[in-house]
Amino acid sequence: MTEAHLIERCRQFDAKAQKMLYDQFAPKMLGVCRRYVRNRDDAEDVLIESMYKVFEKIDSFKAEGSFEGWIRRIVVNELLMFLRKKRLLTIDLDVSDIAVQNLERLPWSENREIDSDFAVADIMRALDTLPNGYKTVFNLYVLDGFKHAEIAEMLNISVNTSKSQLILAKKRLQSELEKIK
Amino acid sequence: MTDKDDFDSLNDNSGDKLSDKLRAADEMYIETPRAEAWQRLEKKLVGARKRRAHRPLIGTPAYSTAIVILLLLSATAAWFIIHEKTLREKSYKEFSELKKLQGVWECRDGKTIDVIHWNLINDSSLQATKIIFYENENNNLIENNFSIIHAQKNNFFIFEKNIFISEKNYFFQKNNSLEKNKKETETIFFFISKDKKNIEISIDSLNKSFSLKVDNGALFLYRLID
Repeated sequence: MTEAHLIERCRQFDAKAQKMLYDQFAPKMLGVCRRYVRNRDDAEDVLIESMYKVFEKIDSFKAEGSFEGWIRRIVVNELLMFLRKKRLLTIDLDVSDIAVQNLERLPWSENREIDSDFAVADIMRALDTLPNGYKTVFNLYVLDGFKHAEIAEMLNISVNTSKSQLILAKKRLQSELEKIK
Repeated sequence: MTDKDDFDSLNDNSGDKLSDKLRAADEMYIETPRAEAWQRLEKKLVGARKRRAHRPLIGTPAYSTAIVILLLLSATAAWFIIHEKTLREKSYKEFSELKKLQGVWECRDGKTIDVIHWNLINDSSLQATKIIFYENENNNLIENNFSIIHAQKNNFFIFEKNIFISEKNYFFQKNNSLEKNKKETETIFFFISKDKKNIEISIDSLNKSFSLKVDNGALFLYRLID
């Protein structure tokens, strides 16, 4: 069955099609959830709510972009809602342009050779130790491909804050990786 | 390697080794949800499915189509009712005119005959507007036992008035339409054609046939063919 056909059947709320779509995308989306939320139960809660919204809102998918991207966006929004609801997403830092420029000049990565040599598992483990604010911005920017302007809007913070959180996240990640080394 | 090499620049989140590595790993990374996760989702979906099955049609294309059809039907019905009403009012108007002209007519012998619609036909050949059943050769009254055959009653308002006159030398006093010295039994029929079309009706009476004709839908004229 083609993706378009599957979507069409899901639009008709066809139970079998919904299961097929779930089986196809849920594992990957749970992976996304786990990047933002440590606890597996919480991650699955978010996944279930996200997939439910996917089926509820599937009529609004216009097939102008990738379907997976559309699902991912719903999952990420749901994750952010979850973090806010649990008060796990607190980013109070508001940063000026000058401060951001200063942060950018910081030698946050002293041993630059180590970064890409680390095993992904180590990096992800190090990422998991970051505070939620850092980790969320890092995830959104580096792994989910959002721009700072988008992140600022999604998290209701300034663009500078988004930038500074990313820089600090990178610095912290570097530091964590140094420990592993 | 610079900071930019290690991670993306602040305005471009692609291109450095670590980010690419992480993204590639993330693309590959999957984690199978537990079976209970689908069961919980399925439970929610069953509820949603039921709500969808019972949700009102408002806003759906089928609802819009139904509304349009309903409006068209309503408009047609309204037009028909108004049109019918107009026709009926027109008929009533004609009938009203008939009633206005009806009256008690005196015969010479002092008897009265209740004539309805007599003057309805504004025609100089007034005599043609009535049907006169003369007595037979034995001077007996013709009984009012004729019947209309082939009359399309659904298309006509039919008014009937039987007049039995047994005395001689009567006449109608109005409209200068005098019929003197004749024993007559009159039965006057008036037909109004709804569709204003000419029509022929046969009347069979005591083995006699009469041809009946509607002229332009007004009160028609009929003639004894004898």
